[in-house]
Amino acid sequence: MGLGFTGLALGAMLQRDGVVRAEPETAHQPPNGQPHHAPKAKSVIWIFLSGGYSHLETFDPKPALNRYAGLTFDLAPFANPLTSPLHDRRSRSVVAEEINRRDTYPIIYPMQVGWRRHGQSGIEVSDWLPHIGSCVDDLAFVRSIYTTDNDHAAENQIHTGRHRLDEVQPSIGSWINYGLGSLNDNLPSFVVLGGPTRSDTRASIDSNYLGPRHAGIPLNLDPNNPLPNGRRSPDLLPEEHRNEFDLIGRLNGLAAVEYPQDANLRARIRAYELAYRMQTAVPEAVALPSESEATRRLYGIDQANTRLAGERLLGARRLVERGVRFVQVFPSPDGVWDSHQQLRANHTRLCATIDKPVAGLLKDLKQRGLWDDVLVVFCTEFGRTPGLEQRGGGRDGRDHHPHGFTVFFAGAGIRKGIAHGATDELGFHALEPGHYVTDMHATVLHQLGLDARRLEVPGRRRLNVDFGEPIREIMV
Amino acid sequence: MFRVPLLILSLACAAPAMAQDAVDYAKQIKPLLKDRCFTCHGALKQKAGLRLDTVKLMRDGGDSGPAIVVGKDAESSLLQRVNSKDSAKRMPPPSEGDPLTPIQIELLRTWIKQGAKGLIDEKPGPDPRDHWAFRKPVRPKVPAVKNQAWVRNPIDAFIAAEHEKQGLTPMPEAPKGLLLRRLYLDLIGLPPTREELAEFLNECASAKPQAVELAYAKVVDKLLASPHYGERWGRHWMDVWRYSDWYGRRHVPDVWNSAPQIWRWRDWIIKSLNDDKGYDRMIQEMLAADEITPADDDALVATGYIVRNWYALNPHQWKRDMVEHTGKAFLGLTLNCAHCHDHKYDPISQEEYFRFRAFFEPIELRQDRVAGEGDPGEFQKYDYSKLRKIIKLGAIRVYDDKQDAKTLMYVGGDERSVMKDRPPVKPGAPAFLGGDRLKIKPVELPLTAHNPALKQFAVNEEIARLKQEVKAAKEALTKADVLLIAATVEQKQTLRKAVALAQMRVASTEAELESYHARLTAAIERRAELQAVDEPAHKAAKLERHATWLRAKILLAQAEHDLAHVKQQAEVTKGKEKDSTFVSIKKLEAQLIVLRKDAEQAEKNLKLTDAKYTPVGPMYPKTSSGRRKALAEWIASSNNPLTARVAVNHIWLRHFDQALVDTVFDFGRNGKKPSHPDLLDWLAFEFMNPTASGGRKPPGSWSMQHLHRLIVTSSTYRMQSSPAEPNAKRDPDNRWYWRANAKRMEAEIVRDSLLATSGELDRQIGGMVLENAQDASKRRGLYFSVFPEDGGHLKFLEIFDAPDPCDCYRRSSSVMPQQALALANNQLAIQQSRVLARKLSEKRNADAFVVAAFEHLLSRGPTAQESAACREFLQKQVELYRKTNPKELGSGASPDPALRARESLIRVLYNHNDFITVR
Repeated sequence: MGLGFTGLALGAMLQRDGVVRAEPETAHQPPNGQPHHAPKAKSVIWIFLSGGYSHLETFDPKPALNRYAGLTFDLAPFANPLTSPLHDRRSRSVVAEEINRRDTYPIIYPMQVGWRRHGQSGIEVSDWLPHIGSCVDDLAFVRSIYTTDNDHAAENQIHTGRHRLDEVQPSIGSWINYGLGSLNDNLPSFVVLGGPTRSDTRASIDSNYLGPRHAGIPLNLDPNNPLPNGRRSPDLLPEEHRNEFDLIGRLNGLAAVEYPQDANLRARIRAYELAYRMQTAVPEAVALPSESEATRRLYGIDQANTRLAGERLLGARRLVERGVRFVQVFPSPDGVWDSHQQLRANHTRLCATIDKPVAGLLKDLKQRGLWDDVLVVFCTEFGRTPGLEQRGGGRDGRDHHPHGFTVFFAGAGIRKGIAHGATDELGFHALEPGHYVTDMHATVLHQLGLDARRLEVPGRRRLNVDFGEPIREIMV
Repeated sequence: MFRVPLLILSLACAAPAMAQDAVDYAKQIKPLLKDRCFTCHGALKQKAGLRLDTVKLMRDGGDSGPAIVVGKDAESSLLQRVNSKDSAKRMPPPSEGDPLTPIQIELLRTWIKQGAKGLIDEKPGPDPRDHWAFRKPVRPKVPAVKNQAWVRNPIDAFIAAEHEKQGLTPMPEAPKGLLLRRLYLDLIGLPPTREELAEFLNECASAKPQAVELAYAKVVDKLLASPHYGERWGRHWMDVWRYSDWYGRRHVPDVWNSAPQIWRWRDWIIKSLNDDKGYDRMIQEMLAADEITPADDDALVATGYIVRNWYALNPHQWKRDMVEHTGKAFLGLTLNCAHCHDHKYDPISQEEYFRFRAFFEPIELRQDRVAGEGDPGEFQKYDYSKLRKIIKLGAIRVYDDKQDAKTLMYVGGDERSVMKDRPPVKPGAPAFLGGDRLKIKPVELPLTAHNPALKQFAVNEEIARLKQEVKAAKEALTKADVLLIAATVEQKQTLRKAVALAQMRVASTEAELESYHARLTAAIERRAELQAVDEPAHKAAKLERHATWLRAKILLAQAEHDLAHVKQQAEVTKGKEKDSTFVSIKKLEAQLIVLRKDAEQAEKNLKLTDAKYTPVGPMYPKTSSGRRKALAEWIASSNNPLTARVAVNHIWLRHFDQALVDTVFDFGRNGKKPSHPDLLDWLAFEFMNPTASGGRKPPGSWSMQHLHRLIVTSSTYRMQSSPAEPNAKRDPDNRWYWRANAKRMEAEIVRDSLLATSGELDRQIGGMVLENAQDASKRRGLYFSVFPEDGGHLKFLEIFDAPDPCDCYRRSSSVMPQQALALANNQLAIQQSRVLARKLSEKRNADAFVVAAFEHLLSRGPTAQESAACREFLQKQVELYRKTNPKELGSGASPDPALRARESLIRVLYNHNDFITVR
């Protein structure tokens, strides 16, 4: 479990109240919760699909794959993507070459689904995603994202910006928590719904050297048990509990007279006040049953196959509505999109589980007037190979593909109905310059009014690649 | 640091307007050059013979003439180079980052035009090798101070000297109860009980001269002798040495990193500290026990330090971690910064990075049998297609596999990009520390080190096991005989077969035993290189062939027997079952073919006469490269200027919650300067060359307990934490130690203290790691699993800044609402409150209870105000319970309202800031 509660809010409040002494000018100043420039967005819903959805069967149509299906890359009338210098530059196995060399798959595998143009923009979306298709005029696709890990640690990479073999960095949500804190003192600033997906993807929500208070907090969408220790023990009376908190405050207050300069003590007094209020605020925030039937239907909560995603996305909306800065949502279970075999069957089923809920969220944000406050990001850890995966005699799947894939942005400060960037004719390489995953971070930070380069922590060296560049082409 | 205001930056074209303003070399030029140029053209390096760290050196220039020509910007090569559009010429080169900004270039131009004015007596940067931390510490003179009365030992003299310089007055000694609590928590990580508090106060109050000093010294001795000392400080060092239980893919499970048996290293740490083993020896054993003391099983697990970094998927990553963290943990050097290029601050070349790696190039892991635990099997090396199993038994350790493993340099931190034109590098440590002159000699290993199955206990256990098998086979035969006698005529045929099988089994187990004995003898004699070396080998080979043949025959007979049985069954089965029986028959028949072949081959092999036999247990190389031994001895040497300083600083940090050198893992030129350089050196020197004091026998060198004793008995340590003016104004951060720092308990200590104060703590020392799901266990926190993945801490600990097992040179300490929720709502706290309330309530009225609870949990009595608040609270809660419908009162708490109120008060005190604070 993560611990990103009101970390900054507390620090900032203490500074505001003169409890924490301002450091001398030369010392490092942690962020004070103020944006660096005028923000476009107040909060973010970051939707991540684990396992790697195929860009070639969702948002990046490549007719050449159908035209040259069955040929090897070297026979198609394009430069062979496997011999491009980009290939090795944008792909590094965690596994050392002497232990295992990842196979490449050169036989062109046709698209497994049809496509339709949608809306005024005419952007094509695959037939497996009709509801999202109906929203394209509100979305900004980026079709030239790349990462560098060709295995599932890429799930951490898209959130931290670093390859598994690099030094670990804080996740994007924790930077935002660090930089801005919460809009609601009684709720965590960075909440995770449905994740982390596995034990080894903890880094995707973790705060690393920013400290535990900036990490994502996984919440259960269960008002009776939203987070560990989050409620009064059932065998204590409410008033008994209240009295205990009162006395704690009183005794700590007496100690504060004894130790007038102890900032930690003052902070702890405040922490107890917040903790007491959180015990009601957090369960209320995740109380989905209080939503109307129409809303629940909009998210597909009434249907078995869309319930999981629908609940998590509706939960996300409730949280941003209440001032949570960053909600990281995993609408699908761990790794399910990973389609080495039977891609068609797999993606048909999976697309149906998220299509309506995601579109429901987008529509709901609009109808509630949240569109201009909330930035939505929809992504996965990598795309899938244009070549047919033949491992173990496979005949109907695609392998991991870090070289180019598609994500979309929507909402606050984002242009509507555009597709920016592209992969090559075969959907293989993101065309230069392409956007490394930290460009997504820079975009999100920028919309929130933050400049990644001004969030540095002393003694922690960040590289240019960590900061990324905002994708200005998709911004209003 | 040079900073251009953002506004000006965006108006680059306005720059010439600045020409009128005088450029300030010290403020505007030198910081810029320092930031962007000094790495290659300064004290550290002088590429092209050029230095830019004084104006004179710039004017003198380098191989290609002067860098600046005063007043003539166009002729100044410095300006030409920073301005060049040709990336091959441009400075700083593209590999060193962005070009200078137009503003920066204009500043340089203006400065040159204005006459390139420098500073009076400007001195070039000092030689990096003269950096304070790179020179051997000598014992500094203890300063003479005015406040002699305050000085209990030299630490105080160094601290007092600064006090006097800064106009600070040391705070008085902390109240005795708080001091005792501080001492307990610092040395053993558990608070004193009320009884221990009373005893101490009592002794302090004695009329004997020096009563307080004696009582205090007695407690210090008692705590350092406590086995809990090793737990407490073991966990600190586990932070620094990155202790981690296995991880990789816990959810599968699949072991990728570290090892499931790594907990034996944790136990070694605890025991070493409790034995007060020298820190130098600890370093040597962690890095090279297999070369330094290869027959000492207890020491070999110390190499867990290396095992921890193991990474199944990528041996390069394993070695990168070894270089980085060996550098940081023991030397306070950021060797990792020289991975992709020469170090920017310290005189460490990229080649030296790889030379350091070469110490670890030959390493591999193995798991050795531990007495009483059976054979853990051979260590499962990485195979991409197989999951790596969780093996918690046996001792995991390191050994040199390929003695002459080559270390190749690569670029860009990516091992795929090998520098083809560079020969493999030889092992060595940085030359500026004398590490290039190490003598590396291969180490001959004793027999049991390279053939561990020959260890006496392993032999005994193996013989016992084989004998047990013979015995079991014989018993089975007797049983079969008895059955045969009692059997009906129809049964007799089957039972005769069973008897025959049992007889074969007896013969086979006996043959296995004989074979083992013969192979054992052969292994030992071959090692002894006796003349008749062939004879035992021949005998072993012969007996093994015999045993193999018998085993094959049994397997065959058993399979035939099974097949016959299944066929018999098949006659009576019907429907779907018939299909599955058919499948089993086919499978068995196929198996039978293989077994028959095996048996035939084994029989044929009986005719062989060679001396080839299977060795008893796995065989490892007979020598070790000696590389790590050389490294370990070099690090753990009093000639190494860094080792002792770095260790002393870590110990100091954990007593004072403040380090003498703030950058605890970087003592290099980019690190922070020590606040008290002489004190640091005095401690380092004293650590290596201890002096006896107070009538004690002289402690061993590198004794950590000696350092602890010096520190905790100092006046510096014993001050109160509450501040007073004017100190607080003069030094608000307490940089000069005029008071104690109040610190928050570490995660483990919060939980341990809850359990210890209620008396429920399970005080067992050491043992197999506990899984975090076993959180109901009342063992100390350090025995639970720690790993850098989800679920890698006890939930309760995680909330209190549990250590990051990948990087925890110092703990962070946060204040968060979840900590409040955990202490207020966690079942652990609630249950302990009930246990403790009952214990403290015996024969005590409310007033006495309040006093006892404060003393027990906070080591002090309540003030009048606190006492009143608590009594009022108790009354209020009692009234609440009385007026509440009994059905709503729940079942966990005491039914007695008075006792329940006291449980409630205990909970409140657990949540008191001063419970989790060490004052």
